[in-house]
Amino acid sequence: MTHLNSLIKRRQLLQYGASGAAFTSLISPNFVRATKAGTGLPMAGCCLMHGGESLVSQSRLSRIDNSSANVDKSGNPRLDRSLGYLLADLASKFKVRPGFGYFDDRGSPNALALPDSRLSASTGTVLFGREMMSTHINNANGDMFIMGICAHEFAHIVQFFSGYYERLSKGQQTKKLVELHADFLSGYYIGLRKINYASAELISLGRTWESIGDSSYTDPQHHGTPEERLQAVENGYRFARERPEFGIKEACEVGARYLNV
Amino acid sequence: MKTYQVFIPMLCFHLTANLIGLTASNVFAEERLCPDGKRSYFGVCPEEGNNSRPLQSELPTPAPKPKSPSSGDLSLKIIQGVGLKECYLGMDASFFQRAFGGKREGQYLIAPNHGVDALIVDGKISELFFYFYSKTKSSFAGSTDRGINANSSPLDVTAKYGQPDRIGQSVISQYGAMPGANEKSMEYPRFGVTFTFWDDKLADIRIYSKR
Repeated sequence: MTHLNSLIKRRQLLQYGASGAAFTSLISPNFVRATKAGTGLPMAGCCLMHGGESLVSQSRLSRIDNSSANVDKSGNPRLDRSLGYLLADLASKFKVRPGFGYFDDRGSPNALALPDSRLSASTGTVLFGREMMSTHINNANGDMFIMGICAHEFAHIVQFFSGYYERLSKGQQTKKLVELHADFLSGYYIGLRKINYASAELISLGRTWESIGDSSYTDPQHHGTPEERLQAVENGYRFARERPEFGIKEACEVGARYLNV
Repeated sequence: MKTYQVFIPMLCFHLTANLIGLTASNVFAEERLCPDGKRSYFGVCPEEGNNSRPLQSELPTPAPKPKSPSSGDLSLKIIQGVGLKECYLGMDASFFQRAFGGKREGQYLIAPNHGVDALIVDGKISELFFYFYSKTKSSFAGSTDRGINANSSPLDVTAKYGQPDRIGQSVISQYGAMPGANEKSMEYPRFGVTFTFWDDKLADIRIYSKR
């Protein structure tokens, strides 16, 4: 790790410092905490809560509030600063400004997107499970996956406030189209970043994304098969690399067209 | 050691560094299968993966400036279910006109000099037609992303796209575009593409949304 640290140049650290300020404004001033509830979240992917629908039990929901104000960040300042940069960039690219916080997802690693705004001047809320975060930061190239998941949750915020959630849900028995659309936008964001990713990073991201697919075709929370999820994120990535001049609005539409919606 | 400590430097690289790795053109392999039959990820075959992280970081390089579509700067690669990079399904009809010019003929925008037509529905490109063998239109100069072009045969199509979901065969009447020719349509709605052959010569490729 010392070796890796030494590779970070001073000018980059200064940049992180600036981004840290953006993170502070995005993150909830109160630690968002949820209890481990009897009704578990899916083991991977995200849990959407919209229009009263929820996988999260009421007991868990009731604890996701602003009342437990003791910790407001991950506990690791450098992580917060780096993540802050990412969140600020996501907010800019996706043109939304959700509140962000962590929650206790012990036993069922997950991330959440809610249309409810728990902070003034924010649009919706994104919550990242601590276990999910800690699990993936230990994996090789897990940072890529975390970036993808953050983008996926931000994509849900975009859907909530642009009419795409309703459009993608209409007449559907499952949330698959909503999820695959968010996967497409996640890939779009990853592709939009001005980074030449290493082969190993892309392969790792692809495999991890593939692994969060499921085959519960009739489950209302079916997110798409492994191949569907991988294809969605790959197509979003390709779209961004081929059409970088297009913004989130166009990406949303192309993503919907990709899903034949 | 806290677990986060491992993550921080790695994430930092992504957030600001210009990583030395594949160029975009390496990444955009259209085929999902690698030569050994395994699936590729983002166009990268697993055996090509380099597990070593770049040991050098620099500021990000500027993204290429967006280009406006123009007939002289067109990608001629036809992507099934999509179209062309500069002119694909779902785009406003004006993109087709900017790319190919052409004129309106009923529901279609036709550009015979480029060998391409578009079906326009509600002002958007709904289907694209690329012609390769016609008495009235120029041959489209491009090929599909899987390499099917004017010289390809039905066997080539099967080799690249697998067995069609449907095959249509007929003889073109005396009133048709190529009277007496044997017409064979190889339809792949799962990909959003149909190939039509006249006497085993590629006549046209039709691109539409996957079904």
